[in-house]
Amino acid sequence: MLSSVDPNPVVCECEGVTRAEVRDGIEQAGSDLNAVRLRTRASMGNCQGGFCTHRIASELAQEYPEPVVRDAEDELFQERWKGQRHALWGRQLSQAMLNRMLHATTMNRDGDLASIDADVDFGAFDAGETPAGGSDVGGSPTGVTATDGGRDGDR
Amino acid sequence: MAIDSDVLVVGGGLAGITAAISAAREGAHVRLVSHKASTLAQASGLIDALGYVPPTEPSKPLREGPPTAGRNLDRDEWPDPDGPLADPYDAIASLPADHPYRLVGGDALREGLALFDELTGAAYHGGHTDQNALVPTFGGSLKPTARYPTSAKAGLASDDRSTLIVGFRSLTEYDARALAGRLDAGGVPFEVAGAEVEFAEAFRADTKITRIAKALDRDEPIEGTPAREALAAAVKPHLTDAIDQGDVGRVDRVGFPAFLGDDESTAVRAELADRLGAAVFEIPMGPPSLPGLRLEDLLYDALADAGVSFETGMPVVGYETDEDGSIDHLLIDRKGTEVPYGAESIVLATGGLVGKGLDSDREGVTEPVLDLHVPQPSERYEWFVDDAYGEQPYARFGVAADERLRPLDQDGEVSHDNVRVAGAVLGGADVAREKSASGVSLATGLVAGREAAMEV
Repeated sequence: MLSSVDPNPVVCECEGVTRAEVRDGIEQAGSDLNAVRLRTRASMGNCQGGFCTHRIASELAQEYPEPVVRDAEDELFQERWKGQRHALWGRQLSQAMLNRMLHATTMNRDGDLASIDADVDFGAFDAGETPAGGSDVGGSPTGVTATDGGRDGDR
Repeated sequence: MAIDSDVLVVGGGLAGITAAISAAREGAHVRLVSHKASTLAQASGLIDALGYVPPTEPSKPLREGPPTAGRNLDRDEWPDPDGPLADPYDAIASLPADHPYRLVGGDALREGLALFDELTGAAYHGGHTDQNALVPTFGGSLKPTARYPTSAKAGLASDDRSTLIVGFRSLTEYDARALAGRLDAGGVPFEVAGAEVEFAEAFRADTKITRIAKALDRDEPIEGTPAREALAAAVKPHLTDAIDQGDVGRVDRVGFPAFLGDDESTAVRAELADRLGAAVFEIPMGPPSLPGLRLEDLLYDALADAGVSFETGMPVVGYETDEDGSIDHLLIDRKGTEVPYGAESIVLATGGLVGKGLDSDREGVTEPVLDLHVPQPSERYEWFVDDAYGEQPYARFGVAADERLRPLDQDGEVSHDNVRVAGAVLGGADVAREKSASGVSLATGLVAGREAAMEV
């Protein structure tokens, strides 16, 4: 079963856990990523899950719907946070801050509109200097529609 | 023999570079020294100013006692932030009183962003308006940000063009369908679908995205086909598939992970857009971040243009003070030799806990270069709370400063008259939850550099 996963990149670099191993864990444990973590050691290394909780969750996406994947990712991130607080100084504190910067600053997981209660007026935000239709690349792309020539395109 | 300058800036990140250029523009002779590579290579390349005002009241405790082993976390019990904010300036008044923005004011943020616009020119956008843009992140969220690189421009969420997000089966950072699903669940005003594409399989397993970017820069042949053409050919069938499957009615734009070239990124995006017949944008990624690396290159060029002497690989190992407490010179380790660097004034822009401008051990948190005072709870169990994304005291750790960004001692008095503090080494902000990291560096860097030049 493991050899059938292709490509098979490493998902958790600290513990050297591959996609096939994570998928095998999911097959046995379902969408509870904490159980997958305990089976595979994925997210248990030096980075405390900072670089891989989202990658592990992404492996759920083939079988599970969007809200399940999102909740599973957020739960695993919180679970790994619990695991590092008892020694939160020195390198571990720096790592915690780096993980916070990656997940909150770069990914904005804490401010995800899908998860927080916010009523957003998209029109109040910057829509670009040349909104809808304009583009700075490749001349004026016209878009691809269902009627523009089918799947072979110009290739 | 001492090496003298008017202003000596310690730290080569966004705050240090901004401070150095700001001081040089006031006519000062400026020298910048840094210890290690900056954290810009880890940054997304987006320039956040203020996207949320997070709640500062503590989360509802899960149980009595120290928050060490909370279980059954219930997200619904935690307060939501105020935001996303369309206007970053309006909300500054509702930040805590010791926040860097409250110290230097909204005008400093505006000036800092204007300086950034000038330094980056056509490479960045967003300066045409005060309003934040909402940019898709690789976490499937939309992030309010003040400035964005050209490569992210076609991906703005307030633009209603129908969107296909592509992911690559051999890359693990996100699943494109899950990312598209999250954007949809977030209520974006456009149709969006995701597709996982085979392309990076042509590279050996676990290839870094920087390697793929190089292949696209050079248009290296991949199994006989030039890389850009091969990438377009791999993606193209998914445009029509997404339409045929009924996920979207059309595809006006295609979002890629940020690996579309490094030096030749404009040409790479243009060729892909042309071949796909749709606009192309990059989704900012984690480290190693191409947009972060591209920004670092731009800023170092700007530093050189401003006439700032720049040396890296040079840790500060000591300092000497005058009788009045001002710093006379720093001792800098140049390849094993301690060399005094004298200056009229010093800007400390050494970074926070990640950049090692703040150090910690089980006894407490310290500022290791000038031994500046860092306010902190005496009990280590008060450094953190249950919710990983909650009001974490450690996230606001840093040096306290006055309105002129001079460091304050434990009695609230200025400890060194000729020192200015800028960027993440300053305390009082929770830049991760606020989405304010770059703005804090720009606003405080601008003021610190200008102030430092006035000491000369």
